[in-house]
Amino acid sequence: MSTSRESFEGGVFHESIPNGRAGATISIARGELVADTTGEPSQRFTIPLSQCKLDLGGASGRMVFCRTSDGSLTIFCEDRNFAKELDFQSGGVFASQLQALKKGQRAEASRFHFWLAVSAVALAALLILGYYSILGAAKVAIRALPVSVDQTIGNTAFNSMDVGRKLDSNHPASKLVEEIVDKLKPHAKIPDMKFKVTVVEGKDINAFALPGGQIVVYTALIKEAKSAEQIAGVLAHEMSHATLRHGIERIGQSIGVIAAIQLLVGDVGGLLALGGQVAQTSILTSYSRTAETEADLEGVRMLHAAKIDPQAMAEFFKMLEEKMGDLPDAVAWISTHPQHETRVENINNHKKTLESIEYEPLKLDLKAAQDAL
Amino acid sequence: MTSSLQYEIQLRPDFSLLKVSLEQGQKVYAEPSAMAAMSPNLKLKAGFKGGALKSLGRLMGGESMIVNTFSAENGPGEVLFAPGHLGDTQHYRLSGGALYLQRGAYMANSEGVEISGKWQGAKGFFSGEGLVLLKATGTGDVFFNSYGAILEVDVTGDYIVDTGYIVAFEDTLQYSVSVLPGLRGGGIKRLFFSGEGLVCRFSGQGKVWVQTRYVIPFLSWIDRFRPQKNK
Ligand SMILES: [Zn+2]
Repeated sequence: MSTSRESFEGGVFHESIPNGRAGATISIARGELVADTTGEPSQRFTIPLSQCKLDLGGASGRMVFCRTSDGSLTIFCEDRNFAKELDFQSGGVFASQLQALKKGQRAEASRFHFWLAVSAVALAALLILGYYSILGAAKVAIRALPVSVDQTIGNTAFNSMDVGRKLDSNHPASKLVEEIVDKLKPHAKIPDMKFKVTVVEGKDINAFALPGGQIVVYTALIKEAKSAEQIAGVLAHEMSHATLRHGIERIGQSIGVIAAIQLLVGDVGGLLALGGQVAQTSILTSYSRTAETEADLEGVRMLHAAKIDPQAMAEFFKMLEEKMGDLPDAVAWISTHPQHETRVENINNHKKTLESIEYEPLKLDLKAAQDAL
Repeated sequence: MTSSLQYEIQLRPDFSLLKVSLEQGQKVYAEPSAMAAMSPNLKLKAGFKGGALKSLGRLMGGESMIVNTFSAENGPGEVLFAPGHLGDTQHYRLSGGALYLQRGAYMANSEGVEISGKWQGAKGFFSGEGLVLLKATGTGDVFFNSYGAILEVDVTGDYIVDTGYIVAFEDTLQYSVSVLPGLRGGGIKRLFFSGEGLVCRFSGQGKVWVQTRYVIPFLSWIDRFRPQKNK
């Protein structure tokens, strides 16, 4: 046995010390733990290593306590090297004791962390559940709103959009699309929806519908169409977006929880303001794949009911796809309407399920409208 | 060896006032808002103490980054410190080791004492207001205050204190924060939204200072008497 080379900062508990506790300088000498208190006058306390009951704890969890068997005297130290020195001086006796104590602490800590993790996961699940149930309820509430809300949002969005130069309503191209819309209108899912179609000058082959029945068609789309039926196909699809209320549904998805709650308590004003805002960011004109498929199928139904061959709709998609090769930038409608191959397939399949009737060709002068552009 | 401060705690426990008498050359550090009165010959210096990192630590512990220094450069003098609320003031003599202080309990300290914030990790985060600690280390005097009176508890073995009532405890005590046994399950909501029902389990040997009032229940009690807004 030897004397420790170092001394350590620590402390002592003993009833002879004022307040019961004092800081101390600790060393190990001749098989004994020696503590000299730092107060004046300094007191010396010793515990033979053979009588030392070891414990681990303190606020850090790393403090080593050495107690006499009756517990009247305790010497403690937090210094990392103290434990090593203690073990070295005792000839390895304390090492296994300290290991066992540390293991017990780790088990305690991991139990705490387990409960912490469980609680955190539970809280996260609650929040997510709450979030989606509010949004879900808002979706139902949105469907229940009168169509006039769609119209207000659509008109607000249309007026705030910079769509480009609008063609006069007497222009042959304007007349053409209006006549097609008039033909389709009686077969719309929402009978009293006020459709309004505007032709806008633009190099993009594009068309879009806003909530409430505002439809915009670009001149390039009319120029590229091979038949009036193809334009009818696009218009039927866009009108379906309006009657299926995809725009307002889309707003419902992007309004967030606060607006959803507002809506549930009946405050539509916030939704209208938000709808106008959202509309400017083109969110209103890019729908989900499900919405697109729905609009395709509803469009086919409308065309069929109006005795217009839905085949033209599929043709138009095919043509756009081919066009995309040499004019990728101009085919904007394709970019907002992805997956055309499956769409063509869907349209054709859906057409087969409808009773076969004699389709009537549109008696419209597409050539004249195109020449006027 | 640092000489200790000469002090007197008056008007205990409700309206306690700490009087520190400084000898020539002595200093005392305190929370900026704690000073109530002072001798004109004492020099007051406001500023950071112990570097930016320690100051940041204090800030995380809920204390101001700025600590005022009162020094008796021109002869002896005295300074009076008052807690921000009703309550007692307690003195603790550090001789090595450490003392942990609950957020807001720190009042003043002598030279030789370092005050730093202690990041509680998950322990502190989940307890909300419950348990954010400052750590005082070194050799010297520390003064802390409570809301209500202070009860000094000598712990041997295990002891449970609601986190809202802890004022300070010694470093020889091991502590772990948990939900009050029996509240588990039903207590989850309260745990996350108020920190209520959280307790600190102390084990080992050492002192805990417990305050006899907790400010949150007092605020909710007083809230019932506030005039209601008409709908
Ligand atoms: Zn579409």
